[in-house]
Amino acid sequence: MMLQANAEWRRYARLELTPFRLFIIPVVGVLVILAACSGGQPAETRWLIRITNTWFVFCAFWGMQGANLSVVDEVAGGTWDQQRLSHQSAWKLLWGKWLGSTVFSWYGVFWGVVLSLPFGMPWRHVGLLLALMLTGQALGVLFSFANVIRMRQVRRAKMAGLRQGSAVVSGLLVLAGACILNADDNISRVWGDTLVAVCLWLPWPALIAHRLARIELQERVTPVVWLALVAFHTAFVCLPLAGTRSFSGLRLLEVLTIVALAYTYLTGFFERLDTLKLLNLIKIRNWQMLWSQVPVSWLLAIVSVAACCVYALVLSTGGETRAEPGFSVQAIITIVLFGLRDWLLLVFIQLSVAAHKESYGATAFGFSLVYVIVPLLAFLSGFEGFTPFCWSFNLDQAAVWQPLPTLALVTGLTFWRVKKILESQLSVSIKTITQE
Amino acid sequence: MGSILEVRHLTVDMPGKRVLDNVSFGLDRGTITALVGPNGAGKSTLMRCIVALDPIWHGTVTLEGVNVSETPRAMHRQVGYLADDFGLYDELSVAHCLEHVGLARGLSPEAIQTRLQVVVRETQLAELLPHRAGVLSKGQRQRVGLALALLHDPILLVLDEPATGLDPEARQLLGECLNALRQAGKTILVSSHILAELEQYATHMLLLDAGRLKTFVPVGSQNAVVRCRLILRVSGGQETGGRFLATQPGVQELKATPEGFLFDWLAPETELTALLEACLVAKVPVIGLERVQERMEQVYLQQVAR
Repeated sequence: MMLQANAEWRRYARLELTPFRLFIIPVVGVLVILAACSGGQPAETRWLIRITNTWFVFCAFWGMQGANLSVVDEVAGGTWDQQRLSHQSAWKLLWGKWLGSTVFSWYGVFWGVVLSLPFGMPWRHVGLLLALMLTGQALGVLFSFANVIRMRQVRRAKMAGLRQGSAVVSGLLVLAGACILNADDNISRVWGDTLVAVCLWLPWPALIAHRLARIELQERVTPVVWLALVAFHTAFVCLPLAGTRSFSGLRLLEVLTIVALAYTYLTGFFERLDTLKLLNLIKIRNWQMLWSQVPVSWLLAIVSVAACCVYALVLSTGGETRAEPGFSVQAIITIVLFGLRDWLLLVFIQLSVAAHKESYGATAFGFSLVYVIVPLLAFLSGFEGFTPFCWSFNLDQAAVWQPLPTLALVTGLTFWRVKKILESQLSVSIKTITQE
Repeated sequence: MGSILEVRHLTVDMPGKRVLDNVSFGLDRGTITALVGPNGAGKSTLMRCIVALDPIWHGTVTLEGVNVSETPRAMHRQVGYLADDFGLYDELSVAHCLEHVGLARGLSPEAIQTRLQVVVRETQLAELLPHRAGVLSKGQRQRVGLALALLHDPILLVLDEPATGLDPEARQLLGECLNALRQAGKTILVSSHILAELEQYATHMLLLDAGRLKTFVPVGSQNAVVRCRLILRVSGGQETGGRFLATQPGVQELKATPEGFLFDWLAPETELTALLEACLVAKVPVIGLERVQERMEQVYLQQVAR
């Protein structure tokens, strides 16, 4: 009844569950079983389970791809504005997309389960596959919502590579998330732990996709979910280590730094800042709206820098030093400062590229300049000592002051750019309105 | 009639370009306003801001007193919007497309059926209901788009270039449909480049140029105060006629021509009878009164050329 009342789910069900498809799936399934059982040997039954596994994987990726295209196809087809104007809540739209765009893959899974359980397919195996499917599909919907911002800026053809790539990334993330807790070969423990891990991961892509859906529907949002996500990832990686001897405050700091910086870089490259919107909000001092619009990369950069620096300071004053292989406190601060420098470089590049143009080329050039061209020129001209100002591999030897010159330069450039923008048309428009 | 939609000091900036510059106007209930202007004038941006699809940072848009930027979702419930590049779910039938949008718009199944009957009649879609949206012609798709925008019974209808690509018959049909909707009390904002077609149904013209509001005037409907160009044909008596017409209220930009007098009429068309009667009483030798066509185009060209 709930599904029937969801406009999106009904639309997908009409499109995906055609009479031919409803008919052909069980027929093919039965034919495969008949072929497998024709010999009546256990070997054939094992072959059947392998076929079923392959079928489940196929269904999982089919569903994930459907979810991946669920929103971007609407933008490309010109129907997304109607969805945005509809009366559906963000949750209703989200789960309509999630379960609707994947409805045919679920139909396939249903017949796979029905036909394979009598032949000894373990329940825990099925449960894990279903959990993986749900997570992958939620990631697919998340990528689809995330790509909408870019869809408005580039042609659909250019999006094809990114969309296909996002499907692969979805799959890899699911597998990585599922396997991260498992280090031994005990198969029963692997299934159980993986199921727990997947269930822990499942709500996050859905929560983030919900946030993006709210933005699309022009509803108010806050970036709290991103803060919670950083905390969750840190806990997710640290908890299994908590009882071991190698775990320490320093190890927790390492994990937090790596998680926060990884998200900063990832989202910085993939999420285009709506700089005009943010500058408008700063200018009119609408702090509540600004807080609701803070992009992920900005927030995570702030979180990573603040959390890591404060914690590193606490550790260094408490006298804790590196007992196990890993980073020192100084190395972590150096990494954070290099990360902050790169984040500001991203902001500067995105502020310098027109809103309707893509920033991939400029970003690639900017980072090539810092990481390749300048160090190479320094090397060729005999100034090898200049390279650590750009980057340093040997972090234990790295000094905290090394990132500071480039950080200062990029900070200055960014402030100059912000000042120029604020001085231009924006201030003129506000003056015009104020005068009237 | 009170203003149903108020736009005040609306300004939209993009890096390097001001798309809308301090635009202010109000739309009365039961009017059709033609939004015209050259390419890149900001017509689509204005429409998207009004229907709360694009955020508003400077200025306000209020629909029946409710601020759109504060409650965009409330605006979504009250407005029907047809984008210039709107799409349909090509694999669904027209009936299923309408049902989907009705459900997404929060209508109950009973309400959907009731509204379907109304919009199918208004947009003359009955024979198209079983067809797949993907096989429809451009004109038929526009009618389906219009039906989708009307399904939830909005008070304001915003149509971005609905006549583009339509043949004359389909344009005629669209005009009839919009006139019927206006008579039913809908307020309509419609953009188009085909001024002659807009003239058939528009009650007001709103001209944008380079993001600025150049003019917002009432045009040729029967009962509204209109600006229309007329020629009063006379057989002699030029001097008497000229003096008499110059004193009449509603007569502006009076010019004597070999055929008679050319002037702008700025009053309800119904008052033209009184003008003719007054001419006869004043012994002006009237042999005919004719409307000079293309008045919207003239206004447009005059304003854009300034």
